[in-house]
Amino acid sequence: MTADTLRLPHCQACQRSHWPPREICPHCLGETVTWQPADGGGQVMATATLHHSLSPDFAPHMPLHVATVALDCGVRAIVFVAGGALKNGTRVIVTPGRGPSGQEALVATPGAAR
Amino acid sequence: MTARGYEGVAAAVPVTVPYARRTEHNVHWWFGRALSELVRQSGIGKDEIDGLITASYTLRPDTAVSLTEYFGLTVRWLEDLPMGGASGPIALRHAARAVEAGDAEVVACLPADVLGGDAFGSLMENYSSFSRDGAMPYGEAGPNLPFALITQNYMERTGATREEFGRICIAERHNGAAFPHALLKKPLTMEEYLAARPIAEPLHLYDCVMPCSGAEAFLVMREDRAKSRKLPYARILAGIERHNAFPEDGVQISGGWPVERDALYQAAGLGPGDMAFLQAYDDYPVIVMFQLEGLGFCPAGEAPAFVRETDFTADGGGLPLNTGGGQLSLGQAGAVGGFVGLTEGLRQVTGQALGIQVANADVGLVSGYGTVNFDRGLCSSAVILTRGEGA
Ligand SMILES: [Zn+2]
Repeated sequence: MTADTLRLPHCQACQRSHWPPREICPHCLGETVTWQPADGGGQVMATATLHHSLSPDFAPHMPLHVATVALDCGVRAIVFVAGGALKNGTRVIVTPGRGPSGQEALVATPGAAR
Repeated sequence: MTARGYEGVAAAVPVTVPYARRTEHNVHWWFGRALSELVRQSGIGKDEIDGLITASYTLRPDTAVSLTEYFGLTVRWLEDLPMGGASGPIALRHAARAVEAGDAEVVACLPADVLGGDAFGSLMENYSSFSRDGAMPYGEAGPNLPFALITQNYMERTGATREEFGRICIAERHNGAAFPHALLKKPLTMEEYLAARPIAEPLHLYDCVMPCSGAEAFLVMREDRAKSRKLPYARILAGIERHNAFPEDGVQISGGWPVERDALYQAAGLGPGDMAFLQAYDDYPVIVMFQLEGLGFCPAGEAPAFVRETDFTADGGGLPLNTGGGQLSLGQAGAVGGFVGLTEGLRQVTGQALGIQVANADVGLVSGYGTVNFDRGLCSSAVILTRGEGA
């Protein structure tokens, strides 16, 4: 395991992950949820190219490429896309990274078969 | 499941307080303007109002409770709705059931919000924990990001084009040009629509509503009271709500209407073809397409073709849509946007349109949608209204 391994909230009762983070599992209502390494492989479901932000932090970085990714481990997440727009259906790897203004964020990089 | 109608209940006195891009007033002023208009137009005294239902994003730290003291109301039934764009039809069905059951005699339904300038960004910062953790870090684009994703996925799945979304926006602006309170009254052409600057592709400027301040209101009471006061009123044939429908869908492709549609139409004894108009929630045009499909005006995935073939203007003889111009013309005053279709629907069925009056508007459908907690609107609602006696 390396620093750029994806970690997700994982339920010890039903062994399923979820996103965004919760203290209670949305599948079985189990209360033992821990952050565990997860398979970052997934597929792009939808994309958006942002040209406008409510925050001045992002304004200098437009346009920004964002996507919804369905991860193979059964959760969906909104992520930044590294290196430009992707098509729906593209295989990606999601890792923890940084957004353009330096904050922690999930980042999808194309490639790598399952 | 079947839905039950609302016996002997009237909805009356639709009020729209003219919206403003900028306001020097607190949200309480907007609530108060709506309440005083209800009293003035109905002749029903403030002391006769014994039920209150509110919706607002900007009332905090105050609540519906605070408003009773602020306005000197003593009520025995009180509710606050956090369902945003779905809150209008939900307010009506909750209030109607309370009146039918005798828990309240006269319910004032009041939304107000103050959302010009920086207020919109502050609201989005604190909208929900999932949005804060899972959506806002990705560009702080507010609702434009989830709806850009939903729109892009829908276009890819169905082949919907920008022109088809544009037809909805252009028809609404046609309707809004005749509506006295619309902030955007200039007609929109397809050239202008297509040439607009991108905001969150595939969304462009005219797909997005403009944040503003405003208030709406209406009263719910027993029919005999409305008749004795000689108030034009609507009856409620059916009403539904459904929250967090289809959570397994990777990207949202529907609201909750398909789950409740049969119950809605069965309770009314009517179908989509009987509706003289549709007041649909229109924060973005793709959501209007969701409602056309989910409420049975066309099959799932076929709204783009339906939009190409249908005239949505209020005076075009097709399916009149958002006959007061919708939020795309009025602006979006936060949770008030969830009541825009309802007050307009009440005006239409009672023959009191402020803009274009739909011909033979005896029965119509009002639909709501809202509350993007993470990546989709979780709340869906709808009511079928019909003209009451004496309207
Ligand atoms: Zn579990």
